Amino acid sequence: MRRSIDVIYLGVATATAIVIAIAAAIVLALSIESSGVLAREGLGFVLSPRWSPSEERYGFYGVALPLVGTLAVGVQATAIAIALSVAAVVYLHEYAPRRVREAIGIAMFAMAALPTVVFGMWGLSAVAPLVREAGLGSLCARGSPTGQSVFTAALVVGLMLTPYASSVVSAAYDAVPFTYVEALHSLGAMGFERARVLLGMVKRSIAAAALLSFGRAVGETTIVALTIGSAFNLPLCPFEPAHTVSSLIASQYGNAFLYPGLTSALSAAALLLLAASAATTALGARIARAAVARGGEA
Amino acid sequence: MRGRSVKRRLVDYAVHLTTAASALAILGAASHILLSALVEGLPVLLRGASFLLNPPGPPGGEVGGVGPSLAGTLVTVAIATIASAALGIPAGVMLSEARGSLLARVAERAVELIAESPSIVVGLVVFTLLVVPMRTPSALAAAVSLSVVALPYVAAQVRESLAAIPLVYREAAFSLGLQKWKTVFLLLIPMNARGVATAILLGSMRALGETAPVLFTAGAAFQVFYGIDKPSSTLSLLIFFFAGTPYENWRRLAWGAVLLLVLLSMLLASLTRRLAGRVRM
Amino acid sequence: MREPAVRTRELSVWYGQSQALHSVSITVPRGTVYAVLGPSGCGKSTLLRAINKLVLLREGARVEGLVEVLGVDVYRDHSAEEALSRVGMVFQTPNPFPHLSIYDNVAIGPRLRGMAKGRELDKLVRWALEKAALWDEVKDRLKSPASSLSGGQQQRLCIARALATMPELLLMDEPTANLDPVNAAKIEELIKELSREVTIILVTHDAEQAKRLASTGVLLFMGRVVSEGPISSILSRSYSSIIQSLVASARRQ
Repeated sequence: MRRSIDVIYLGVATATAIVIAIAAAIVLALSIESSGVLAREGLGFVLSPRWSPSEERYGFYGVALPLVGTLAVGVQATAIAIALSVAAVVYLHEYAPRRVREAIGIAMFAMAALPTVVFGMWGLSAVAPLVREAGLGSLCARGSPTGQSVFTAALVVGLMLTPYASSVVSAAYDAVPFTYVEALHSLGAMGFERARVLLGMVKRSIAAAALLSFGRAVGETTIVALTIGSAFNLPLCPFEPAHTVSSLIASQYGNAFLYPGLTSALSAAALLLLAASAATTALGARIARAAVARGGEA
Repeated sequence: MRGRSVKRRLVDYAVHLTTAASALAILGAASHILLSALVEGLPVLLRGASFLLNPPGPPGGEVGGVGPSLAGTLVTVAIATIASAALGIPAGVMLSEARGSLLARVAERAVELIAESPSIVVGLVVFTLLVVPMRTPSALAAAVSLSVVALPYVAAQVRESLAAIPLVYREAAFSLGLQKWKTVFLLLIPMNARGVATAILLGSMRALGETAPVLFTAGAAFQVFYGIDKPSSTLSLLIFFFAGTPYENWRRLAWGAVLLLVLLSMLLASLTRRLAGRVRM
Repeated sequence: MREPAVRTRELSVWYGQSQALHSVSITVPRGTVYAVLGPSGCGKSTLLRAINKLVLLREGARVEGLVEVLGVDVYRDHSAEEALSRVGMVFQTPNPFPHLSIYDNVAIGPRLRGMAKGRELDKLVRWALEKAALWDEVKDRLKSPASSLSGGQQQRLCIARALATMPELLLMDEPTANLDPVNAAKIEELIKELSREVTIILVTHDAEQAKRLASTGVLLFMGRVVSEGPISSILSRSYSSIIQSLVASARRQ
């Protein structure tokens, strides 16, 4: 009898150990692989704007420009996702009739289920032409002629993140004890006034949603690679094409065997991405858990 | 002086309008995506067998089909579903049932780290650890990559669904006097078979939708499905590559693949929703 | 004689399929403390929330019959909002907004209504806190969060929050139920004080409390009025007469 139980535990423990090994392999493989380029370039890897794999024997690898691009897309996409989801949550809770509530619930569900490549295809064929036709590119010095730009990428990523962000905000809004809603009604508060007080009570969850969204936006590759226009450019103006770290990695898929230093440089870039995404996501998850543990109170 | 001043009413009206417009924008975007997929993709999808079985036509020529990529998708998603379930279910059980133990605590961090890894990062790691030694991208490498991406979703869902078993049932199960891990596998898991099924479905949904992990690992063999250890492709990869080409026939093919992918994703999502009542997003 | 503070006629409330109030008719005279008595689940809270329409917040709630508050039919008249803005409410569990300061909690009602600003608002807040017998305890820390107060203080803060809107009618839903005896006594003292200036409807399951505070009231049982009138008379009735009147009221319908 006792033997068979040990076998079950052994199986569970082995599988768990493999999962731990996978996580370790991700970190170790990236660290070891990236040591080459980091030893060669040092801080220049993150500070230098020069990315030129074919130059000299080893090539030059600096990701300063894509890092700024990642930051720009991340911040804009998060702002769009949070603005849309907070507005939607307020509308759904304070104003919307039930029918509309259901319709938007279905839309959110469908959006959450869509693969990112579908968003990317849509962004490329519907949003980018819109940006181009609207002439937004002419507002910037190096405006995009195709409509593929930092803003285009951020808009589509922001939409992709909206169901996710609003599920976090909505859960917190719902978790505010009903008695506060009653108190606000008893004071004669109107919809926007109730929303202001209740959003104040869930501001931690909104911060958590923003961090979690930012973490995802930083790592998002498919949408960005299709819609950002892939150019080494300092994207100080949102309607210019650029690169993010993830779109840079994606754009090099076919070259990895060609240049001696490229795999190392891509791994170092991936390590940066992992660090940024893990840090913001972990912080966001922690704030979200703490907010839930406090019972929805700020 | 009392009651609702004109100013308050105006502000309320303005907030009502702007929030409604935001909600409408979300609704509009979702509808536009789905309608575009339908309008652009349906004529292609309706070609039936030739779309599902044939390879893509030559650049600028006829549309052709997504046969090899569909085969690649089915193979890689099947392998990824099985592998992520084989590792994710026991890991989820460990996280829930041995909570606090050293192994569970380390595993918790490991699962979080994998979940936090952008999927392109996972693809790159599998590239260095598998594609480089094998000297070729392959369906297998793509499947490994997708398994890793799906894994944390499976583990987290299994842990949640076990944790959600009410204490009374849990007590009843353990009161039968079986050893701990037998109780878990013979009583608790069957008790929450739906939760485990949901976890497996979530894993396959993830594997089906992801593009970035297969970018470096699958190869780009859209014309023929060569086999599991040879270069291959998936539907999402086909869309990614053909979306930006200047060839009209390839873009139309990509739309057909979009619609097929949307339909498959929606099918899995509604199955998951029916099983779980609510999907974790 | 002015119209009563509240008058209901044949008031029925449903939550989905289940009926919470059956043809309740009560009259609350002005300037008194009016007690709503009965065992838990008898519809006391529903009656209170039907008066200020909070009942409509519940999913599937439906209201039939007449509810007149300060002379206005609040379910039909256009001036319902104006009438309800003169009604304040205090809840069973103290519920000051935990993320707002003590000052902001009291000021929120006047601010929403645009009643006062700056110095005027300071005065109003001080007045309300004094009325709620809380001023001396909090005057030095008006900017601290409301959540830093004790349970009893929080309930008095909620009373101040309601008073700051200068209500003519105050609805109190078992305001002492979740407090210790010392703090409950303070609140009772406060209710006596306030009753000189404002009409109070007090929901309670405690007959002794009703006797101490109220002059008139109503006894509810399973959503029906058993009797209405002076407290002493509605509490003196025997169990059998309660049953009789219930049977009679059930027959009438």
